[in-house]
Amino acid sequence: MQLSSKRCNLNENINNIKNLLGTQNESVIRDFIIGRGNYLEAAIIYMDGLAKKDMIDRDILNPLMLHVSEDFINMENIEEYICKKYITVSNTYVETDINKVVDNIKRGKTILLVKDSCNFIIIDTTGGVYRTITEPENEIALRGPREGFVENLETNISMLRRRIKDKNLATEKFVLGRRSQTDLVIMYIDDIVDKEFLQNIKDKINTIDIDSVTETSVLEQCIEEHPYSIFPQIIGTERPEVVESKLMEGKIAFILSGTPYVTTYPTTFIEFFQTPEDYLGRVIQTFLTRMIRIIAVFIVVSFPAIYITLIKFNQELIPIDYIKSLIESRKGISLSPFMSLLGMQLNLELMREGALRMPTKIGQSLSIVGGIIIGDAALKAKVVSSSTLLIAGISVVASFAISYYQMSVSIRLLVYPMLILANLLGILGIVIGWFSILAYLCSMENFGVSYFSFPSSDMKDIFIRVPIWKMNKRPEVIPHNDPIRQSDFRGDKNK
Amino acid sequence: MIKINKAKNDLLTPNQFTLTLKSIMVGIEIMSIPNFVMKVSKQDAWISILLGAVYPIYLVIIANFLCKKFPKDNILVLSKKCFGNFLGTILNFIFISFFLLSLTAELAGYSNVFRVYAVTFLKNYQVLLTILIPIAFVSYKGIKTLGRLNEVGFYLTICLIIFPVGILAYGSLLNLMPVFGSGFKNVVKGSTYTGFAYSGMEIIFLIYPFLQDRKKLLKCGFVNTAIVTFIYVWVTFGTIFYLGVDSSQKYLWPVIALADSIKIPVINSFRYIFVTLFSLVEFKCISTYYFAVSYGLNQSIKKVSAKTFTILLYPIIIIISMLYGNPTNCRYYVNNLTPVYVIFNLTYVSIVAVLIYLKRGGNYKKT
Repeated sequence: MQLSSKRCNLNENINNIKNLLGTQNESVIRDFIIGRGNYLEAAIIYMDGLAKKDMIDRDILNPLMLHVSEDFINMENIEEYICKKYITVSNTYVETDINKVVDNIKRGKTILLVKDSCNFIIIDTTGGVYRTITEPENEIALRGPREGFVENLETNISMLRRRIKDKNLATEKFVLGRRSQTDLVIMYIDDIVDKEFLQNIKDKINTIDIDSVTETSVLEQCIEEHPYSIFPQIIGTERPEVVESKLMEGKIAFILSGTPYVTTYPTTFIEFFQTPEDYLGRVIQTFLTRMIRIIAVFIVVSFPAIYITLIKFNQELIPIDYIKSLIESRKGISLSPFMSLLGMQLNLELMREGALRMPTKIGQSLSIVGGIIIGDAALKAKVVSSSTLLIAGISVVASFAISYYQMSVSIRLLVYPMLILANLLGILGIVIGWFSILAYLCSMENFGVSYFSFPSSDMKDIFIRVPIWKMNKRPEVIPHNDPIRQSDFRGDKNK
Repeated sequence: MIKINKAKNDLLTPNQFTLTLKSIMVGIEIMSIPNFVMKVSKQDAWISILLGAVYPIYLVIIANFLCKKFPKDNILVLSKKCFGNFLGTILNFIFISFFLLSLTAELAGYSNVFRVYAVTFLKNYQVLLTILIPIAFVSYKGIKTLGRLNEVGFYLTICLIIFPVGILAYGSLLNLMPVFGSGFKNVVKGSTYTGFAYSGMEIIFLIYPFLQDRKKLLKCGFVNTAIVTFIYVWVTFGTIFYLGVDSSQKYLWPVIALADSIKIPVINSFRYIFVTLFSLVEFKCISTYYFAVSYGLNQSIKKVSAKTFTILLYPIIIIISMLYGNPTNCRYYVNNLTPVYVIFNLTYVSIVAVLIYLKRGGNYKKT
């Protein structure tokens, strides 16, 4: 590195850094002396709570204050010499730009300043207390690794690096948020990712100008294409192995400092119905569970609407035995089926929202009061019929089968327009509703990638999941530069 | 390998292209096609249908020829080149009006079927007004949305085609005997009644510039014709097998009766479910026609965007669809108008192809 021979005042340097850091903070400045005889004045600056103090004491102050017996007078490149000889921390370098120095202090590094020098020695003492690696509570796979991302950016990157040792695994760093100055790292495999798509994403990130980025969802909202769409457009996970497999498809992972939730771009609709477990279990089992999820969507969206249609407009279609009991159960109820179903749905919605936010202990009593007492009382008070309650119940239970919470909420919301359509137009309303949903999904694009599209070559991993050795190509919907995932190593004969 | 490229983004994959063609061809006429043909060729109706496929195959071959010569220009541009601006524009409008006719006929036909089997309590205008909204949305969003929708919807069509398999347990092969019993002449004559069923393929002349890989145009067209022919032959075969030639004529839409072969305990009539699922197939068909009309008009009058045309056409389509009236009237108009249009379309595309072939050394090659 080319170092300038300009002389700078130590105190002036310290003051400059102080000013750039701001006056109100926990920065620690420690002045000390290096060497004997013609000693050298020096100072270190670090941020309390972000740096490891024992490391500073042991690896910086101790060698410099106690073990230097040299005379540094008239020595050139004194910073480099000190770095090389006395500082026993591996990640140490000399920096000239004061702004970068300040950024580094904010990230837990320690700065060593020496008298008469304009350069700064940056020593990596990043520390501070973080949550340890645990299994993510919200995404559980019975088989598979037990580790989950944490809030520490470096740990998260290291987890992925440990899994993917390819030399093409690339990371790029961005600093987002005027005030929060949060680090964002995008990670991708350089020779798989589509360069145009990557550039598109980077351009989008560079346009963000915001106060603070608290979570990946903030980032997502800043760059997504359909802000008012009911469907979630970006999927995220806390499981490193999931991110690993997505990187292998040519996607880009967004790892934000301070959140364990890593998102991957671009996302397609069907990903919200796939779980890590799908790839770990048996092929046939996966097919069944995926079918169940899709049936669940159908049930959630259309069961209440179909019920309304049959009761209100097409009674002739209900077999005679059923209709008897239906009429029996509806005796004395003044509310129309539509109103009672809507009421029941809203009530269940309230309970679900309550149960989600309440502490677990209170949540249990909520489910007893809500589920058992209200259900029973509603029947006895002749507000709903038992069949209506059954339909509402089935639809709620089905919504739990949709693995991804945000998608489950979106699907649940579709019930209401569907109910209204069915109440007005009967089965035609349901058909129009479904066609509109499909048309809307087909019209959506995510950074130029179709959100809802099933090319025939990708059918290997949509409704069914073929054995891993048959997935020789990467999904076609995701843009990539290298379509071949693996050779056909089992060949045709070994099927 | 798919690249994100904004310019390329409007293009359809071969699969989407094939299924878009399939979508526009298989519409409401599938419900009644066996009856049209059976009038003449009796139990050999299915052979007539097989022969009818000559029409779409011819169109595909012509389209492939034009596509090779002018891969970026659709027929509307080419006809202006061949016939001059004035005559070309008039012929183009007639060509586009065919799509409008089919679109409204499909819509009116669908409304008739659906009001009989599912929503007896709704009036014609209520059905038309409401279903056209999502359909217009698809057309408004353009070819890419349409392509994806047709691709996704095809899986549904497969279910619909498989449903009537149950009839195999109930019908009789004797209904189909003797093969060629109605005489070869009648079989050929019967195949001319398949015009409305096989029409729609004309859209290939409008949308071939949207195909990603133009070399696959011929393959796409043939695969599509094979799929459509298979569907028609299967339902016609099924109808004859299950109902027989005579009783089939008593139905307005005999194919719906095939759904009777499925019995599930929770619902009295499976026809209801069949018609409901069929609605989605029909919506795709109407959407594709809608796109063809608004895109065609946009290509003729470039000042107005296809999106604006979509909105402007909405009331016009409703009004025309209301004019058809009951199923018998509707069929009367369609059966009389379609042959005229089929002949026009055939001559129109053939003449354009011939003119382009003759003048290949001329000025056209440069464009």
